[in-house]
Amino acid sequence: MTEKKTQEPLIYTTQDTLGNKTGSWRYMRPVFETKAAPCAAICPAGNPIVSFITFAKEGDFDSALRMIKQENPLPSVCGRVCPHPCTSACNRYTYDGSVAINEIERFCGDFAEQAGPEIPERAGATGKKIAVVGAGPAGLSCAYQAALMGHEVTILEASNRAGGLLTQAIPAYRLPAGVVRRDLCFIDILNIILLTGKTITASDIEKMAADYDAVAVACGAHKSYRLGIEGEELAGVVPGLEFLRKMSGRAAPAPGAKTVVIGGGNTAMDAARAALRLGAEVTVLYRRTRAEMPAFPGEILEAEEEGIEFRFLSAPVKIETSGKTKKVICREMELGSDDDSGRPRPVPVEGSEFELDADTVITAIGETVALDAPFFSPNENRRQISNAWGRTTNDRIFICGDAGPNDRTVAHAVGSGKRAAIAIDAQLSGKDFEAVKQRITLGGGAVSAAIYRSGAEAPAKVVAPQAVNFAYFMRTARLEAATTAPDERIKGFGEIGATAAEDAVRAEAARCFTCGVCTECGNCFMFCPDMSIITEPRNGVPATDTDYCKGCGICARECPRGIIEMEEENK
Amino acid sequence: MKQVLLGNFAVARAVALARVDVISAYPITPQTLIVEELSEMCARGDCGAKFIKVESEHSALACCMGASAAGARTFTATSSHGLLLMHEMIHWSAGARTPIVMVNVNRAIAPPWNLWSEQTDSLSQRDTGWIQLYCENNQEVLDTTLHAYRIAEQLRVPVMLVMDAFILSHTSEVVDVPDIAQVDRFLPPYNPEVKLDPADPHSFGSITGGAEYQELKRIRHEAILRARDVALEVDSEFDAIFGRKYGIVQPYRCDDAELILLTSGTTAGTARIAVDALREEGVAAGTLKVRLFRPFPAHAIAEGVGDAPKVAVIDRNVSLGAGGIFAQELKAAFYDMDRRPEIIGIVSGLGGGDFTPEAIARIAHNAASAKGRRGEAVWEAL
Amino acid sequence: MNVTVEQEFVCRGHVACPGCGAVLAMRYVLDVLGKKTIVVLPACCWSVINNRYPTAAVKVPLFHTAFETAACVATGVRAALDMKGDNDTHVLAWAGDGGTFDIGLQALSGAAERNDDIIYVCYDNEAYMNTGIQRSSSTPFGAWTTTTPAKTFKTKQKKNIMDIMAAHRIPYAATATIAYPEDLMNKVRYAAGIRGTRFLHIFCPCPTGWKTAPDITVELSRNAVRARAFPLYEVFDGTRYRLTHEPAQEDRMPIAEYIKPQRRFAHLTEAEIQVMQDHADEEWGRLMKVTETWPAG
Repeated sequence: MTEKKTQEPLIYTTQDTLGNKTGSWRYMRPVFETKAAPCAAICPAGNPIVSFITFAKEGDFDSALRMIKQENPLPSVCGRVCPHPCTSACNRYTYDGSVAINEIERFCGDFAEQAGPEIPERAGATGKKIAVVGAGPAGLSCAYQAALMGHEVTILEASNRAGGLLTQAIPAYRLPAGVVRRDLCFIDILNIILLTGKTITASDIEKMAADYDAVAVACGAHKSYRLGIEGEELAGVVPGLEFLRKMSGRAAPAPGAKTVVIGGGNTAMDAARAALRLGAEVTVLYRRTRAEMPAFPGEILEAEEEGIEFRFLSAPVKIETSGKTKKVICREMELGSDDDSGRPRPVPVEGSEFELDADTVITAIGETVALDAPFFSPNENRRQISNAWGRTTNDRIFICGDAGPNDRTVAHAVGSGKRAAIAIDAQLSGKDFEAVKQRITLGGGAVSAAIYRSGAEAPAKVVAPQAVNFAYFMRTARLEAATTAPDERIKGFGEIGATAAEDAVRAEAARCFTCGVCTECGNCFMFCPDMSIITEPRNGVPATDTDYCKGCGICARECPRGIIEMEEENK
Repeated sequence: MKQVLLGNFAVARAVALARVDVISAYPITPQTLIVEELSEMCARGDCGAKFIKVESEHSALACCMGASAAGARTFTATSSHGLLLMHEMIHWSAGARTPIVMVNVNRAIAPPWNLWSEQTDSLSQRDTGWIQLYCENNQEVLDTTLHAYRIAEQLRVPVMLVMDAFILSHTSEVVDVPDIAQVDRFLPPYNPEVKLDPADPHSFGSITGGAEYQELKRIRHEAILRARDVALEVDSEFDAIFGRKYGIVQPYRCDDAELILLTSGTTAGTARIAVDALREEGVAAGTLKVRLFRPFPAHAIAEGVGDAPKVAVIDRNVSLGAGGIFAQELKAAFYDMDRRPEIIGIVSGLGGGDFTPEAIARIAHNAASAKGRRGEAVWEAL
Repeated sequence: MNVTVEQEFVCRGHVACPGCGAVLAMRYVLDVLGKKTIVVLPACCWSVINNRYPTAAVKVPLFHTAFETAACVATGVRAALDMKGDNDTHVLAWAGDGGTFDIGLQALSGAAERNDDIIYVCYDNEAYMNTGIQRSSSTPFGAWTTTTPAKTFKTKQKKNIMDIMAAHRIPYAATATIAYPEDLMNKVRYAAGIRGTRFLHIFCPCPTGWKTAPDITVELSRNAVRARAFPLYEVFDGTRYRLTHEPAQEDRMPIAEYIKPQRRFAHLTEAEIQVMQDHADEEWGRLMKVTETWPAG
């Protein structure tokens, strides 16, 4: 009886605050965007690094391998011989050591032993025929991608087997034959026609352009530069590639007791270390200093460990016969001003001659392309061809690998082969090449065939280390690659080191920040004081509720992997 | 059942009878016995309330406010400095529309220290939005406590019941303590429509702008004004059950009076004796006890005063620089009336002086002989 | 992030400054306590954040009260619920550092001494922010506020409220901060599972009052822990201690680095920053000692 319903308003609230659109306060706006990890953007082969590492972390190596095989048919090879610029670019590098991406790749590649090759599904037949000249890594990669796109591919190889430098030059202690064989299984799986023993000339190529819809020239660079000194023609003076090619043949060469290797590149290192294993005492002559050596630093280090002597700032003047052996007359050099390559020019020091005894002299001062063709005038069009992904003045002829103006590593060869395949496909299907290039290039670097095929867009931006929030990553020890003691490894051509164990690989994969790729960690949602994060992913990233987001920027700051950036409103 | 009870104990009995849920209080002389007795009663199970012994009066009232906002029937008691410490929460609890009932045992404010009766403590809370009721004896104290809950809960306005220090608080009188079943008929459980309830979530007391603020204040003002009628309704209902009736003012021999003594609290009873004596002397005196101070029952007083030409207001309180507070209220109330008696404000009995019948008669004589309207308060020593 | 907010009890459209740490604290705490919670809110930033009548951002019942009354009003609410037999609704007193360290300390002490069954959260932004950045007894040494201008910056160290609460021997007292939601929510969960006075001291950086960019609120919260300016620990029954997060050696940060982006400290000399460092070291050392001497079981 005392309680009477009253109409009078009381001082309690009756509504929520959704009517108050605080988004109007904002002058900065978070932009969520999948970005390229720096490792992936820099990978010459265009490996999908974050994706395959994400699977590897889960122990799903089948999927990891499948991811790699979208882009690169040679993971076991690249996992071993690639100088892995990805690890130097890794955002973890300065924090507690980069992720050992190459070790993970190697494990994934080797995992094909258990999983099978995991070759992606081939697209429907296009009816287009493509010839690939040369079965080295560039030609193989080009053939592989072209085949996946549904083209009928024929490879013409001068030697008696596929592999190019992989099988003919890189010594087994770096790359055992079985590893290459494993990666090359795709040739049969994809029904690629491999014709061996086919030496192709420039005029053959022009003729083939009429028979095939496109010809990819991946003939490599096999012509060794000559020293241009007296005595170069003497018996026992051999170009490095020739020496290495003999290594892979039936009868290994006998370098004798003393070998002098002239040059500072990877061929020089391979030849020197091979000669060492064949019993020679090896001296490497290089006319600049160690810092200028073009060989991979790891190779140089291992060569030194194995007891190879380096004579820096030294160049041969002439080679003489001295009884049964030879004498290399050398001269000391000093570094002058920079030359066209940006390296200091070696200048001879007058009166500094000295002599080295040698049973074998291996010259390895570089190789060039043997091919001299009108569609490819190397001196003028090199850069242009590089940007054009192998397109030449003849719209049916493409160039990739060492034959083209590309960096000479296996990974670069794989990448350039892929680019050529895409350029060919784009041409054959009438796509706008520049648009394709724009669409599938990750952060201006690597190229993705999977993105090309799917029609998606490659992330344009690369995650800089400043965009990573290191607070979300515990410092952990880096996976140290297994190695073999120098005195052990010089006993023969057995592979150095070993593929890491699964647990270690998974742990290493778990160190990956997955830069630029949303893992739905929830930080942006959790730390948004305006409850304005829409977590349902759109295009793989969350979004912001612009009605309420005040633009504080906490989400961007707390994103561990650089997906969120603040942008000025009204821009 | 009739019992001999101190005023403070009568309060305690009433709290138990009202089935108060939550008590929160802090001791201060002369209220202390209320706290002690309630503690004993709660310990014995004679009072079912949860008694929270807080660390200050400020917290006591805040605690009651929280409990009340969550739907509990609450009680606190204090005095003097305790009341003044509560001041902020007195405002807040009224603004929060929490129907708390508080007993204030009037006591003078220091310095100097003085424990005795004076109404300045409660009257200085007149602008806080509480209803104030002043009691004359221990029976009225008990009964009014029960009234207070009805009024407070109906209007959602807190009620302060005021009683004189010692003269009531520490004085034994015969009190008819009603049966709890009867009290239950009079006072149903408190069950507010809106309270702090997870099933019906609201925020209470959020920021407003001026327009809303003023509107809310106006609504509170009207609620308090309705207390005059509600107090009378409740009084009638109480009378129907218990046979005791108080009204909001109590005139005594006012009909033909030439001089009316306006009183409150215990002074009223003594004033009746003095009036009888004055009548015997041939002075046409009457007295009018004001029971409800806020809202001020202007019309009920005017009706009681009738045609009397002179009203002397005995204020055991003072607003320094202004005069007695009842007198001010009365003057303000009569300004708009057609019949305006001469009003003499008398300030007396501060800090506990005894209003004997003789003292009141003397005050009446002085007032009767005073000539002309006077603005200034007359200070009468006791 | 191993935890998430399952249910939002803070509505979008609230009016906190961009980058407010106090909103995150409320969000996390209410998510753990759930729908059956009543908030008692004294004067503090949240009095405004909740937005104006007739709207409310907090989706559970909330009672605005006077500055110094959070604890005792909460006690009253608890008493009312108890009388109604409602034992599972949490009563949450939610006060700022001013309302806790200063004006509300008496009422808090009263409630703690009585071991009233309430959860008391002090969200600490180290000054009276709602009134426009005046010093409180939680303001750290060296800080600029509008009442401690840079020339006469605050020369007293921050009051150690946790020691005060521990001295009441309440069943649970813990520090937490918004950069560590899992730790924070675990503590709320533990508190919700026991009875009596539970005190949570939640450190909430304030971009407005600290003169910092709004995007580094969480980072500052994390850095305060890394710099050991705000250690994360719990005290059981006021006597047994447990550190819940010890920054790894390589994550540790000097005070100088922690305060660097806070322009409220911009005027400090190296020597003055050293005073802060020494104080942090000393307090940390003390905490280590009590943690070792009286570990939680």
